[in-house]
Amino acid sequence: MHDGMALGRRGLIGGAAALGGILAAAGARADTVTLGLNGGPEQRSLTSAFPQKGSMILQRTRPPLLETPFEVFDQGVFTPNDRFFVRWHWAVIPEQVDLATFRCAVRGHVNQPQSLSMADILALPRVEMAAVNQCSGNSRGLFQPRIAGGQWENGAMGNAKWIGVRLRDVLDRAGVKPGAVAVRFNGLDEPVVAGAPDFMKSLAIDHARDGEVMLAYQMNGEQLPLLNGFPMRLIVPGWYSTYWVKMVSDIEVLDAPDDSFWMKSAYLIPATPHADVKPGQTGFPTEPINRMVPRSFFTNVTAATKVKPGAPVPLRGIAMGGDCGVAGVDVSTDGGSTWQPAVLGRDEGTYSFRQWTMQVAAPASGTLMTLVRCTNTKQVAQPMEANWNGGGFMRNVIERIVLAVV
Amino acid sequence: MNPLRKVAAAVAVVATVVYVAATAGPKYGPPPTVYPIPAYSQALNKAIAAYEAQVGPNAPKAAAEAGGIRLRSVGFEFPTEGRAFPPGPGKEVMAGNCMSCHTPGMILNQPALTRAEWAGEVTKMVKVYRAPVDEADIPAIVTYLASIKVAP
Repeated sequence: MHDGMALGRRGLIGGAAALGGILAAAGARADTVTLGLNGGPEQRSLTSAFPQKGSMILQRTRPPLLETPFEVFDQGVFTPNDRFFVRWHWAVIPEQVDLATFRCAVRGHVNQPQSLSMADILALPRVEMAAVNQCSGNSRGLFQPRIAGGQWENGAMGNAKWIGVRLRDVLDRAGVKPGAVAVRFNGLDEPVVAGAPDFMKSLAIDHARDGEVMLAYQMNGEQLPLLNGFPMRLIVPGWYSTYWVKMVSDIEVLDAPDDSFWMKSAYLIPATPHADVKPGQTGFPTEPINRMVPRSFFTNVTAATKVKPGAPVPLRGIAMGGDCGVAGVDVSTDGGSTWQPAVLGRDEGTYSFRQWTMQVAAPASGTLMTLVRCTNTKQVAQPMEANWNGGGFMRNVIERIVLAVV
Repeated sequence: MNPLRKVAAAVAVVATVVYVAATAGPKYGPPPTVYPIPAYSQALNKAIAAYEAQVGPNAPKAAAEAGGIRLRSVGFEFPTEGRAFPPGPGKEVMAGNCMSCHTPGMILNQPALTRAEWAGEVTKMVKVYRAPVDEADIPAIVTYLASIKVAP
């Protein structure tokens, strides 16, 4: 186990001081945050300069990469829209979206190509689903050895109640022809440089028509913030966010596999258990990243939290099953030799975050090390060892936190 | 509301609840007929105002509405980034070539990489993402990046 696995943030978590044996941590400056990225740089600015966004960790201004400050996840299983993470690939993003002219094409291998306004979309049968949206590279900054790319800590994820329409219903309006194999999605964003690969992603036709994949126009009861994909984005429950195309304006049914850049050459993972390879290893098969894996986090304590000798320590956090539900969350205080089941909070749906709570006891002196592990309903549990791959994708190692007893 | 409509509304609510409860997984419900439009958040109102300022007061219909949900057109301006690169040979050629696609934070937030890794990143930007960089400038860019953050 390497040090990067420890939850290393040193910010003050609001309210933590009021809980049981937990003592107040040292406060951090309000305009910066220190991420636990081994080898640095660890400092980031907090910014409220982005439209429809509150205080966010500034990873990059343009194209925007905004990370959710982790204490937000302690406030409930749904991530407020104004704190929801933001990730764009290309800097040409429309600075306005006019619903009078916005249209989404449905074309390609279909009987009747469509050009749909948002009013057309709103008139289709409405569905609602809670689902976690997590960046493929969430937690990339915690990989050892480090990897170039967006240097996220754990906040490139969020959970929302999505309201919109089934993709299947939209495809049925156009009438998918026999022989269709995939559906490709493109949004209003564009590369800065001519000839650079426009950001597009595709799903296999059966996946696209499974009745779960959605086009959402509302999250948590309000229209999507522009930076989260207004006027609508794809929701691919249980799959990484790279597929959740924002500002969807073009849906193309393909009669051959999608061999465009963002499917064929980017977001590839090693086709190995846990997408794990050794640094420098070559010659392994790869595949497009796809289903998410289980994760769980502490939300009411950080590495800066101190506890009283012998005191009860209430722990709380969130878990996700990945591509299925959460079966259980277990906590260990002996380095993973034995595990105790945590109490699970309300089930908001298969693909939602689920809150967990647990009370442990602090030792008389030294440190209290706790581990948290999610097992999903497919009986897949988080691993003890961190994975590594050259993209910095799919981290889901068991989180551990070491609290000082004082 | 007259009594008949009250009864009808209550039946509709019960029917919806039963329908939702009987459906496993995602909650598929019929589109509601009466659906109060919630007050917009301050952030959304600001984005609507930004849109209206961009398009002017005589803009065409800027909303889409059906089934009790109204979406409003929005606009905004990107904030700018104030971060600066440390001085060093190659700084100007790096900034002149790289900042059209992304702001300095992308580079300044990277971990220390080996010179070979930096060279790989620059090559990827040019070959894959079509950064318009003169081949002749690449060594200077790599040298500058390695000079500000290098791993052994």
